[in-house]
Amino acid sequence: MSDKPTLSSFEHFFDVTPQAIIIVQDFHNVVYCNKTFMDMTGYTLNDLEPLSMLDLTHDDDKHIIEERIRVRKSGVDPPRNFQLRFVNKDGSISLANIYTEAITFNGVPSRILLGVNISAEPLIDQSPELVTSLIDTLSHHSELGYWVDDINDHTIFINDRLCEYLGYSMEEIRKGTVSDFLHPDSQEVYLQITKNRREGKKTASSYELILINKNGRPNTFSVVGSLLYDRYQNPIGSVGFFSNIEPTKKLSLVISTLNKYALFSRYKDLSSFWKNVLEDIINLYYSECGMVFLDGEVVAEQGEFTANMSPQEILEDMTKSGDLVKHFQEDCSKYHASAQSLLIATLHLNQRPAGFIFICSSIPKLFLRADVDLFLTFCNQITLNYEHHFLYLQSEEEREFVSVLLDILSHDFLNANTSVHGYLELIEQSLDTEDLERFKEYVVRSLSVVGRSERILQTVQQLSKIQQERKARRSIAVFSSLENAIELQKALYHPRIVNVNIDCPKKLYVIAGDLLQNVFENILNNAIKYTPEEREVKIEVSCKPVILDEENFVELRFIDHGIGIPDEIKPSFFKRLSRGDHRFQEGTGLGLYLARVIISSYNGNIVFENRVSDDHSQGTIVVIRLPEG
Amino acid sequence: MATIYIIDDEDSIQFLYKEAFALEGHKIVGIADNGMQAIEEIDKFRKCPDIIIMDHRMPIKNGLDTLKDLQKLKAFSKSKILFITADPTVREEASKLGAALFIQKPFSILQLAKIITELNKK
Repeated sequence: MSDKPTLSSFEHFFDVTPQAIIIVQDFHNVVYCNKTFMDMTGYTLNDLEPLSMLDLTHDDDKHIIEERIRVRKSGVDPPRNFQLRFVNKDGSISLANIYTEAITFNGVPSRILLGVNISAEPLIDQSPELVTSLIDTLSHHSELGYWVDDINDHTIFINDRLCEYLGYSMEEIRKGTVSDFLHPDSQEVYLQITKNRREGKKTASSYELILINKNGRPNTFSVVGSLLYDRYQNPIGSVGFFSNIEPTKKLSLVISTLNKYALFSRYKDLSSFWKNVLEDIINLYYSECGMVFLDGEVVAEQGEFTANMSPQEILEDMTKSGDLVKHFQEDCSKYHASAQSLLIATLHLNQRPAGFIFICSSIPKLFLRADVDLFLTFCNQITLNYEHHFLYLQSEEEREFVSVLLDILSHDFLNANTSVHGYLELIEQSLDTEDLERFKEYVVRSLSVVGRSERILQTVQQLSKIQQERKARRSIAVFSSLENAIELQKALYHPRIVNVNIDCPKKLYVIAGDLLQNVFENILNNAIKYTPEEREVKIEVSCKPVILDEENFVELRFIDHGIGIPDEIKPSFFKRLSRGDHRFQEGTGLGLYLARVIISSYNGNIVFENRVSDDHSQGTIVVIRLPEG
Repeated sequence: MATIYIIDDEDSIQFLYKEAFALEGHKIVGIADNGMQAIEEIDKFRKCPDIIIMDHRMPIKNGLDTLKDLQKLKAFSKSKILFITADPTVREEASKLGAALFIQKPFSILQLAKIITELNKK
């Protein structure tokens, strides 16, 4: 008995090798196949028994088998290597690279076919020439970026398009890590994806990455990525196809930003409107600094600009040159010390140049031609939104103003007229009685009512002033306004001693108008008037910055030692002509109702508190909160 | 002669009512500066006033709210309520709440005194 090993001695080895093995006799009868072949094609041994090589071959490749048989029959050995498509049991196709060798199997001359499944390789149905051509196109001529990494943050291959965008050669890119070329937000995304791929976890095949080029310019790409395997199905890297979506992304963000500012109710005052717009457009264009200049003033600013930069001159230059938008791609230090890229677009109000928005960055050549056009469109549209917003607020204010005026005329004036008319009727009725004392009483009372009518007219005048002031709000130093109001009230009550203690930083500013001092005077006047004669007039005024709903405010507290206000009627003091505030309506003609209207017009509020929390008779604290200037 | 209770916060109007109603021989039995004060006082009356003259726009409690509270009192069915205001939009609500007469400002005080005389006869 021979100890020479036979083929069956290697059967176990054949079943674990990744190569598919079949043995064929009589040109096309399959007499053996290993487990790998059965796994690849899905057939069992029983299935294979009646099948020939031609049965297993794809129709289009049958000629390959027939040709090889013909050649062999002619006594010539055909090439040992060839590719063949097998038809699997489920009808799918497996492409295999095949190597053949002549052997003797069970004493019969046979051919052994060693096959490697290369179906996983791309472009299965294409010819090798076409595949080469496609890879060449992808690598050197495509607009599509193509980056292959080793799933350990290192580059294996990157195509010309991405090299060109990044501004580095493939060799330079290979020296660093992949994440070196990503925006910090994208580094996190990319490293998580590669980690998942290494760990065999399911990963999104499509995602966005922001690449940073040699100049520092960010650009967003949509990436379709996939793992790459070796022929043994082990992951060896990943490939990402990069498509530049920066223009469409920017367009979409611009539209959503414009939509955001089309909602009027979100912004109660116009200064926060421009601050928000500027912040959004700076982020959208990856810039660092910017400014909105409108109607002769800087309404929003981010970053520090050179001292000699004159917004008015910029506007004049733009108007003179007739340029709607200007784009600088190099040294812009005239505007900002470190600016290398700058965009300016004129804002038109009522069809006239009224200001501009500019944004700048230390990144050179940050803005592309498409960015410039989109920026101009944004500026034009946001100005329209602003105009609508402005008109809306103005009409709301005017409606409120008209409503208050009508209310005053229809109620207060009518009341006064009713009284005077009544007294005149009584005088007429009593003419015959010659009761001079009674006449005198009626006349005195009529005069008093007429006096009140005059104060009502003064109130109307004050309201008109509030209307005008709404358009002329500015930064006002609280301390000096308070000081003026205190001096006036002290003079008014001379020789009564009025002690006012102010705790207010001199450089504390609020956004308000001229009438703010009238409000201060009114509060101080009440505090003095309603401190009983026997008590010393003591008023403490404190001012400090506070944050309310993430906005910066200044809180002013006027603390008096007067007779106080009962808690139950405190709210009625600020209501329109609820005459709980008789005491405040007299004298200055500017009641607490108007104080509230004025403070509200500055986007602030005013409330009362007790000086001693559970005893209203110990004095009042008037609390005013105004936006910080 | 009618007994009259006045609810009005304005001193000059209160005085006017007193003088004009005296000419017609009516008697003022009470005056309140606001609705809350009126409710407290009217509740204590042993004999309800014939007429209640009520202004609408007052501090603390306005005319309509006072009418609602008055519905819980005996005076609501015994007294005739004259509701006086410059605001025509509250006429319907005042009527629904039980005002016998709605008088819109401006008005003649002497005519009002005469209206009260007539109303008191019914």
